[in-house]
Amino acid sequence: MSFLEKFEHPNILTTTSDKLFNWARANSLWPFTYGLACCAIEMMASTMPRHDMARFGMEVFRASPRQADVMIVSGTITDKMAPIITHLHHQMSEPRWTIAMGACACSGGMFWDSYNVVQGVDLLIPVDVYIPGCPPRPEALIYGMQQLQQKIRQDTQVGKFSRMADNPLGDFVKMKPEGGGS
Amino acid sequence: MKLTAPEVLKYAGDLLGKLARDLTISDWHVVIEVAAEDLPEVALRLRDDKRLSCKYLSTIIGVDYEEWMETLYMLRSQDHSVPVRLRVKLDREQPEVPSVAYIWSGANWHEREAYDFFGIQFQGHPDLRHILTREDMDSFPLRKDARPHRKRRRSGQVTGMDEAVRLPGEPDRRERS
Amino acid sequence: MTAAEGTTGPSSSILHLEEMVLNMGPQHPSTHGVLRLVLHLDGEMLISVDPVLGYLHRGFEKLAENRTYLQYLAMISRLDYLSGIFMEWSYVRSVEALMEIEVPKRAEYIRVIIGELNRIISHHVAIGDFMLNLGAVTPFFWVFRDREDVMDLLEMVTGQRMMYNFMRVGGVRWDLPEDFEAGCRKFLKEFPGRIDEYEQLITENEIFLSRTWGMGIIKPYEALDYGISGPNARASGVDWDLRREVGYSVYPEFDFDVPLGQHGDCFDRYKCRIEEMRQSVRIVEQALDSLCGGPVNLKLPPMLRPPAGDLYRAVESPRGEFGVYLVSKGGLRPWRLKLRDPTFSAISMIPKLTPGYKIADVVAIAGSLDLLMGGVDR
Repeated sequence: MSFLEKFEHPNILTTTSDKLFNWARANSLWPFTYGLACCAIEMMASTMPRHDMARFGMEVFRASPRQADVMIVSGTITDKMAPIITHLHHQMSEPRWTIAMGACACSGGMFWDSYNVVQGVDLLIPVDVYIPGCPPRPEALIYGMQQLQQKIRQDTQVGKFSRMADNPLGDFVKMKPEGGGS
Repeated sequence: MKLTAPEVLKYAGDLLGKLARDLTISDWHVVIEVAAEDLPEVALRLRDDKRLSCKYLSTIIGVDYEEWMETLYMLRSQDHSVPVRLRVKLDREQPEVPSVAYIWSGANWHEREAYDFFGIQFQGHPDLRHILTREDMDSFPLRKDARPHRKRRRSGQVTGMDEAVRLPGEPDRRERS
Repeated sequence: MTAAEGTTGPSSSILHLEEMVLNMGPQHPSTHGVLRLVLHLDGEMLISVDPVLGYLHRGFEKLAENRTYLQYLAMISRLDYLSGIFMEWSYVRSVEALMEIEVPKRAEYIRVIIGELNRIISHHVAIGDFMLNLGAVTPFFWVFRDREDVMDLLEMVTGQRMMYNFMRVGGVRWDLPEDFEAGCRKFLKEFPGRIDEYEQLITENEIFLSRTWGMGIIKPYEALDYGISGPNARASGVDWDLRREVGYSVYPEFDFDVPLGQHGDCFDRYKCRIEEMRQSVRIVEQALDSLCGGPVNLKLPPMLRPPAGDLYRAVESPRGEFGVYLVSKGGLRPWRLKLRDPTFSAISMIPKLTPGYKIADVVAIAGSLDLLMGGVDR
């Protein structure tokens, strides 16, 4: 494994490979069609001829979580929907990112006193970018996606193999029936 | 033929006789108050009568007036444009009313919704279960004695989810970093 | 319904066949939002469909009891989010009726103009989404392109693309800007040509016809029985339009047709929506011609206290009869607010319409009914 050891610490090999991986990932993000409510309409509008999101490489909306990179949670999350959103997030393969679009996904929005609304999707899954608005304009969504692209470009694969060796199942450790992890 | 509200009131009064406890016109609607046990008979007569022919049930509404509960049935007809409202007063502790799901097919889901929100038992309903709230919800949210509204937002508050969502071993994310 | 060996059922007597339960889950590209359909199948043929709702139940009716009348007005357009102005209109009508106030004439005309423009864009998405579910992606792009033009106009007037928050109790929020009329007339002149473009692509398309002609037929008495209204019912021949029957606002002054279908199948529902868009253009033109001067708002105080009472007011939204039943006890907040949504009744027909068809037809039928889960789940 001596060649892979070169990826344990930052060096000229890793910066080049990082740049390559991040360029590829950032410029071909495949969103997951997770439109729940009103924000979904603005999400659809942002892929449409006026505000074209395909310019940035995000036109391939996949309905299956296995094939998607970024989950745009657009709309209100209710108690009934919460287990499903966690399940789908776990089904997405890594690397995966989440964008909370709209006030309801960021923090519950105007339904702060509702008996059935989860106060923000970050109580269920980790979120990378928050886009406020009710609904956010398509330009705001595109800006949010560009922020995510910037975040991805700062990502690094350094140390990933050793992390994988220590923790082979990664995020999925909690899905073991015995309930591994803390 | 287009009828006016007083004409519909008169026809309904003749048709129902003693079954209608109270007949009024409120805001161009004809409001008929009936007892719970007379409801199916009244509904059938209103639906099948040639002049009134209330074949369209718009919605069934449950209301909780702290001392009593009420169900309202909004009916319309193609033949005359006077809406008819049936009002049934129910006991608050044990709200029961016969179901009209076999009279108007659309009543099936409306009654499920009234049960979901208020706990009103519709006797004879083919499939009375939760429709909008979670299946395992044991309280009826729109009753006035249900959990009161939160006074202000508390961060980290996840309404009613608790164990239902977390997978075994998943950390408690209520502490936001 | 298990087809055991040698007994009756959709199977041969040699094979042991069972019915399969498939979940067309809340996350699905073709279920128009978070609708879950539990399909009981025999191979590809449907035996029964059980819709499961509530995945977007936000508790609007309970929240009304904790908001003042003006605060709730900002929320209510999130209900049936494609036709938000009609939710506001119905709510505002019921409060105005309780308070027995009369809205200025100019405000009524502005309400009709904004309402009919909203009807156009709602039908746009209805048709576009229906086509997307059938696999035709081009009309989806075209309708969203044209939707943007109307949303520019609406943004010019209300400041918002989708959730307008434009109606007020006693009128509308503010007057039309000066350049609105010119922009609107320009749009109205071009738009019938665009509708012709859609029709050219869709209406006589062989694939579209084979997928929608004779599918999901709703008979007129069934439509009344289930409480279906709007284009879904008018496609079956039920001649009922609240704009004409009740004649609220200034609709009696306008001359417009109410398109009716004959068979009540998916094709007729699509055609009704196309024709309604043409009629909306007529109404907006007449409303622009009839605009009179005067105030647009009665400038009521923000903390309203309607007198005690209860009433029900409905408007003809693009999906049907949207009604608001308001019970007030004279306080700052409503005692009970019930929202009657047209799509709730439309979904209740799906278990009746779909057995015997294939899965792809469920998608076509559900798409033709123009479902929107925001209103259904409230």
